[in-house]
Order: sequence, then structure tokens, then C-alpha cells
Amino acid sequence: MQAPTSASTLRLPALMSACLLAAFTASAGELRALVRDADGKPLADAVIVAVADAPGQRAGRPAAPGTDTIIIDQVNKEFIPYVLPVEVGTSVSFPNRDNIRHHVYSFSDAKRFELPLYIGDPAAPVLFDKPGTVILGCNIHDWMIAYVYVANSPYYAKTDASGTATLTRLPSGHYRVRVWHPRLAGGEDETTESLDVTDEGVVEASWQISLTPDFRIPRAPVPGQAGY
Amino acid sequence: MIVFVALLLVASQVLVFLAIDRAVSSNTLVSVREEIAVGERIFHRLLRERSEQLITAARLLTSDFAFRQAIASGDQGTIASALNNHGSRIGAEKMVLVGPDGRIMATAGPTPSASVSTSATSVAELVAEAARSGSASGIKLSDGEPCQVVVVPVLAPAPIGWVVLGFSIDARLAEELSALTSLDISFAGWQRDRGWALAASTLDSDRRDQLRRTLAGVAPDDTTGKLATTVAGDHVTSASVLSIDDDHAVLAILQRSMTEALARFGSLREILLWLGAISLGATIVGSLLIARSISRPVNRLVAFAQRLEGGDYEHGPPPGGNDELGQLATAFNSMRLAISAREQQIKAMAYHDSLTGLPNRVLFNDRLRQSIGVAQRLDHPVSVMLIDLNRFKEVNDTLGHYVGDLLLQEVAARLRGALARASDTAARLGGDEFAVLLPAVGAAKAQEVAQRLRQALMQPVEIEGHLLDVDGSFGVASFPEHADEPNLLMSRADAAMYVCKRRRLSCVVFEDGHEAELDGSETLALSTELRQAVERSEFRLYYQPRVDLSRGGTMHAEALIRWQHPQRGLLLPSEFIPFAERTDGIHAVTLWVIAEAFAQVARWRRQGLPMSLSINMSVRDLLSEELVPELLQLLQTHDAAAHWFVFEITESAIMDDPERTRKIASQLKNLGFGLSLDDFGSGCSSLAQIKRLPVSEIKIDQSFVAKVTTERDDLAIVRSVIDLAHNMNLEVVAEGVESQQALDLLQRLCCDHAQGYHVGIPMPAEEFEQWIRRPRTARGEVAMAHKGFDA
Repeated sequence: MQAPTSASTLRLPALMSACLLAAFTASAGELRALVRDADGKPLADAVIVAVADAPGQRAGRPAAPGTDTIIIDQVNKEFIPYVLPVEVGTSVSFPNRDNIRHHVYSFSDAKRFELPLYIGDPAAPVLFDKPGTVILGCNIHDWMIAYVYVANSPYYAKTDASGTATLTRLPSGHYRVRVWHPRLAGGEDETTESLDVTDEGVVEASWQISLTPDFRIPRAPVPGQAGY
Repeated sequence: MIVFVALLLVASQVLVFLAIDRAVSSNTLVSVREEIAVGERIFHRLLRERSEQLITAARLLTSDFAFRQAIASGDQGTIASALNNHGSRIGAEKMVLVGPDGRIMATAGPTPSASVSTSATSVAELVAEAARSGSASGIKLSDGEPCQVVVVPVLAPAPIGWVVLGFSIDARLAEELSALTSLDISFAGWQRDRGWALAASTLDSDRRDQLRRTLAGVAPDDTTGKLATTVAGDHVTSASVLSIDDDHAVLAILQRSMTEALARFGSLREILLWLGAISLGATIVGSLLIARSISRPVNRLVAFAQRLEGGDYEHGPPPGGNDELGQLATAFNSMRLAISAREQQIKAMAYHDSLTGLPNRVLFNDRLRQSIGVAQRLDHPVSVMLIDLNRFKEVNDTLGHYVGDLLLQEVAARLRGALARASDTAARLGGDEFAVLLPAVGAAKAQEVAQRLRQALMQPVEIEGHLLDVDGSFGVASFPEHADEPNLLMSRADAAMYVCKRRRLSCVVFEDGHEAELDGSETLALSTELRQAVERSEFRLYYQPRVDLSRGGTMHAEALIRWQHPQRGLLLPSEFIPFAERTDGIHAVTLWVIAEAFAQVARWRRQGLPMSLSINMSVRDLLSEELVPELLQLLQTHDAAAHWFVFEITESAIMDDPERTRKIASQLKNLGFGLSLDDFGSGCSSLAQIKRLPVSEIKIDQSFVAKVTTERDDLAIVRSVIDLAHNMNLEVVAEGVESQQALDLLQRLCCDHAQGYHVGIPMPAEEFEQWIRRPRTARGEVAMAHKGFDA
């Protein structure tokens, strides 16, 4: 398994993009994406995935030291983050920071698993070895939901609140870039754009996507705080 | 009456009942409609709540981890059995799992053949709605059965599919909703290829059939309005379309039975009927009581009034209380007494002479018949005595009617006083003729009584300063000696009386020859004397002046005949004209009068006295064919003009032969003679006939004029006659004017002419000439014993 190496993938591309931008501009290309919804509002939590046409382009793959474990926290009965893009083969840990038990599960085809009621760190992280979307739920708390987007490419980024995401260190070449979002209406492939990235250049692209209704279940009221 | 009141009451109660019934019906209809409206709202709310409950239940179901695991397993069999298992938990009849892509992934249900594929499109709609809003529900047809369908997502935790659960709408649900809404509830499904089917209903089978029939003719998109009108009858209906698309429809029919609604008022109706019956009964009882207190006294009063009608004034009315009926009875009694008194008075007037108070002819005859009846049985005689006052007319004419009347009263008093026995009756038969009835008295005895009565009469009497001698002629006849029946007895007494008068005896008892003497020889003698009178110039013409009230002055007089009889002195017309009229003698008399009148006026005219004359014309002369030529001859002989003369014709003349009278009167008129209607008012001539006669004046009978100042009725008659005559362009002459008062009154009444003692008495020609030449103020001497032809 290649899990240790791939675990070094940048945990938060949005945070990194600002400081890395100046350092690596000369050595690799950069894709700056803007995602908006049908109303033109910037859309957060969209995942931009760039897939290189030729396998040889993998030269510029960001090298990640395997020190940091990628995690999805459970804090205050919510998964954090809500959307987590990872590359295939990445293991994700689901530490429980609440003082109650959670029962994390997924029925998604890309990864079916179940972490029965537990407190604290689970025994082992979960390896996401197939590309696709894995929807995480908690069997105790219906409203808890998180998405692990398992990308079949190392080049991906998640939009921030301003709807932008920056893919850095892209080796120059031809890419098919697509957008995914938990509420994306229609197929992911339909968003695919073909882009050429050069070592020196910054490619900008923007998407406007339609969303399905927000389907999240409201939180159950906290006892004693009804009405507040 | 009672029946009427009862009927009225029944009618009013029926009306009240109908009105209330109608009000109840219409109120019921209104309230039933309200009930339906309310029920409909409740129904829809219940359906909504049921959907929510079902959705909640379905959510619980789909959030079951095991269920989600099973669904997520992707294994068809597992999914189906999980669906079946979990769906059954909440009583779903049909279960379908729809994938996120809208495809049906699995179906399940207690009835294996059950499928919602027939309504897949409508399910898809619901799924789409659920995808938008989290859940959806609706009423759908599935295999022709209406179902309540809910769609909820299977969240893991994002939707991994949609569970569609169908809950059949069955009789149990209908019953439940019916119990909550108090309405009859039916569900009907419609499929384009099969039409309507009644799915569940709380109606009984008859009404279901009725509803089916009604539905058969209704299009699914036209139900609401149409059902409300078509399923009328006993039910008020409301229809709600629960779902509709091109091929399917589900309809809820809510109904309320009017009969049941009205049943609530059944007790009210019953109470009304009872009230009606009770008040009807009370009315009948009350009416009977009223009848007891009103009808019976009224009936007794009616019986009393009928007795009154029959002439029974003896008995008073039935006793009454102090109420209105009692007052009525009292009034009746007053009426009875008044009628009784008046009847006595009328009887007295009918049987007594008002002037003297003596019994009149009617009562006398009555008593005579009674006496003869008694006498026949007891074999007694009965005598009657007729008394005629001698020369009474002279008193009357000379001293006036007033004195004459007083004289008659005095005579009556003396007769009454002289009769010894209570059974004897003295009566006044008319004029100066009295009679005495002497029951059980023979002729001889009667003659004695007659002598006694005569003695009584012959006492001089002083009236108004005049000392008068009174005497009478007594005629006596007795039953059965002279006649065996009352009328004959009276006529025989009459004959005896006339004989007595003629022979100037004091008393005569009837003898057989008397009647012959009166009828034959007397008449014969008189007619001979009449003829001789003309030859011997024994007639005299007197002239009574007549004053012209409008212009003043006297230029007209009435010619009145007198007979200067060699033996009997001066005779008034009444003493010989009736005899003359019975024979041919009258014509000679009339001709003499006309000739003398013509001659006299001609003489006066020559002397410068422009007089004109009225001449009395008897019927017999008027109708004579020789009259006109004779008049022409006489005018010529005496050189007189026709317009100087007025012929006076009596009403009776007109009545005898109106047509001929009119004809001759017209001839006279054409000749220039005036015509006057004499004694107007004494006869009964019809106005129509008078109108056709060419008369120029009428003379009001002196009987009216005499009392015109004292009697209101006479005044009214005189006034009416004057008005009437004036309206017909006739002049009016008042005869018998005896006082200045009367004269003044007549003048005020616009009477044209006046004639009478107050104006001037009849006078011979020479006297008349002197009278007329005298100043007007000096006229008016004491009246002499003269009387007009018309008296």
C-alpha cells in the first residue's frame, strides 16, 4: 500500500496556496479556480480536481512528508471538515473530540465502513482506496454529515469561503479539470474543462454550477436549551 | 261560530307548524351545509395530519440503521424484504424504493402482485417533491385503489434512495373520518379506462348504488359543482378532488343526510303537534264555555225578540246579569215598553177620532158587529142611531174651522155625557156625522134615547164668544127589525137620518119607504128643480177675489155658483152639484155658469175693469164633445175673449180619462183659454200626466194651505209644490188662505197667487165691484156664510 507517502499530501490547500505561491511559481504551473453557484455567489466546499492527460506529468507531484495524519474531527457533534478531498489511497483518521460516543459509518460504494460507538481516537485510520465520494454519517446523530472526496489525481483543492481554490505545482501540460460539490446537480464529469498549464503561468478558470437542495437534517435540539 | 273559531285555530296552527317546519328545514339545510363545510375542513386536516403522521412514521422507519444498511446493501432481495418488514411495521400496504436517480429499485407489499408501476409517473412527482422538500405525500390510485402515499428519503446521511409507502384508503379510514366529522364519507377512484369505482364508503348499500349512478355521469374534473347538485335528494353533498391527472383521479365525497339532520327536530315537531292539539282542545272547551255564557243568553234574547215580533209585549226579556248581555236585555225591555206604548197610541189613533176622542167609524163598525153577534146569540135587539148636525157647515164657513172643531168637540162631549150605559157607544163617523150604538135596545127605546140626546144637544153652546144653537137630525134603525147585518143596518139608519133631515123632523125610525124616497123621488125632484132653476134664473154667480202675490193687486177672481132656492134659501154647490152631476142637469148648470161668467167679464171689461175669471169645469162637461163649439158660440155671443178665462180641472178628471182630458185641454189651450189644475195634492195624479197637460197653473188644495203656518208637514208640502210648479213653469195658486200669517208665509214661499177668506170672500157681482174699487187696506170684512164651489 502506498498510504504513507500519500499521507503527506497537503492537508489544507487553501491555507498553503498563499505562502507557497511565491516560492514555487518558477518551478511549476498554477491553477486558480473560482466556483460560483447558479446565483453567482462564491461557493465554498467545492473540490477542484485536475487530472493530467499524460502519466508523465506526475513529475511535479507535490511531495508530502508522511508525518501528518489526515483526520476528520468530530467536534460538538459535527464532522470537521465538512468536505475533505483526498487522493486515492489516503488514510483518514476519525478522532472523537466530544465526550459522547459517535458511530461513524459510510454506505458509499467508494468506501463502506463503520466505526461502531467509540470515544477518542479509533483504533485505526480508514483507508480510502477507491476514487469516488464517501458520505460519512453518524448513526447516533442524524444531522452529522461529511464528505470525503477520493480523487483519482494528486491535483485537487477545495474552495474557500470566497469560492476560490488554487492548485499549485502543476507540471506543465494538459489537464482535464472538474468540479465536485456535495450538492452538485448532475454528474461531476459534466463540469470537466480542458486546460493547459505551463510551468511559469497561472491559469485561471471559473465554474458556475447548479446545486440540489440542501438536504442536511437539522440538529436535534439540545436539552435545556430549547428555544436558544 | 265555534266551528269557525276552531277551524281558524286549526288553520293558524297548521300555518305555524308549516312555517316552523319550513324554517327548520331551511335552517337545517343551512346548518347541514355548515356542518359539511366544517366537516370538509376537518376531513382535510385529518388527511393532512395523517400524512404527517405517516411521514413521521416513515422517517423513523428509514432512519433505522439496519434498514439503511439493508438498503445500502444493494441486494434486491434484502432490500425488498427490508422494505416489506419495515413497511409492515407502520401498516403500509405498498412499498417502493426509488433510487436517487428516480429508478424503482425494489417493490414490496402484503399483496405480492401489488405494484405502483401503474402510477409510476405520479410517484415520480412525489419523489421529486420529496427531493425538494424532504418529504412528500399525496393521494394516489394504485391498482384502482386509492392510497395515501408518502415519500421519504433514505439518508445515509445523504439520500441514497426514496422510500415510497402506500397506505390504502379503506373502509376503516372512512369510518374513522366519518366518526370525527359526523359526515358520510366515500372515496372514489377514477381511471380513464375503467371509470369510477367506489373504494370505501360509510354509506349503506342503497346509497352507495345511488352515488355510483350519480358518479357515472360526472367527469372527474367537474365533480365539485356537479355532485353538489346531482346527489341532492336526501343528502347534502360536497366533493373534494384529492388528486387528479390525465388518467387518474381520487375523489372524496362528503355527505350529510337531511333526514338524520331533521331527525333532531323530530321532537320539536312532536311538541308542536301536541301544543296544537292541546290548544285546539282548549279552544273547543273555551268555546263551549263561551257558548254557555253568551250564546244561550243571546238565543234567549232572540226568542224574546221573536215574541216581540209576534206582538207579545206582555212578557219581559229573560233576566240578564250586569254584563253587556244584561244591558242588551235591559235595552230590549225598554224597547218593548216603548213599542207597546206606541202601539197603544197607534191603535187609539186608528180607532179613535183625533178631534173629539170618540171612537171612529172603524171602531164603531167593529163594535156594531160584535154587538150584533152577541145579540144574535142572546136574541137581543141592537139599535144604531145616526146623527147629522144641522147647518154645521154654516158655522164652519162663517166662524171658521176652529170654531167648527170646538163645536164638534162640544157635541161629542154632550153625546158621551148623555149616554147612560157603558155599553153604549158614541162615535164620530166623519164631518158632522155622529153615530150611537145601543146594544140590547129596540127601536122604540132607541127613539127615547134619541130624544134625550137631542135635548142634550139643543142646549145653546158658547164658543169663542159666539152663542150657537145646535140641532141634529136623528135616524134610527134596529136589529133585527130593520136589518140582520151591520152594513144594511147602517145604511137604513142613514136613510132614516136623511129622511129626518129632509122632513126637518127631530128623529126618524127607519121605515121601508125611506130608501126609495131618497134614491128615486128625491133625485127626480131635484133634477126637475135644477132645470127649472135655470129657467127661473135662480142661480147666482159669486166672485171670490184672488190676489197676485208677486205683483200685488187683484185682477182675477174665481166664479162660484149659488142657488137661490125658493124654499130652501141660498144653497151651496155641495148641496146640489153632486146631484146635478149624477143627472144630465149638470150640463145646463155649467153652460149657465160659463155664459154668465163670459157676460160678466165682458161687462166689467167694458166698464174698464180688466178682470179675468176662473171657472170650475166638471169632468162630465170637460169630456163632452159639444164643449168646444159651445164655448166658441158663447164667446161670440158675449163678445168675450178666451184669454180672460181659466178653466179649473180637478185631478180626478185627469185620472178618469187622461188621454181624452189631455186632448180637450189642448183644444181649450189652443182657443186661448187658460187651464188650471184644481185641488192639487188631494188626488193622486202622477207628475207625468200633469206634465203632459197644457196647464198654466196649479191650485194647492186648501187642506194643505189651511194649516201651512202650524203644521210642518203641510208647510213642506206647500213649499215642495211651489218649487215643483215653478220648475215646471207653472204658476201656483194657494186656496183657503185664512190669515195674514198664512198670506205672508205664502208670499215668502214665492207662491204666485192667494185666495181665501182672508183675501176676500165670494161675493155677488155688485158687491165684488165695490170691494175691488175699495183701497186694499179697507178690504177684509167679516166673512159671510158663503162658500166656494170648491169647498
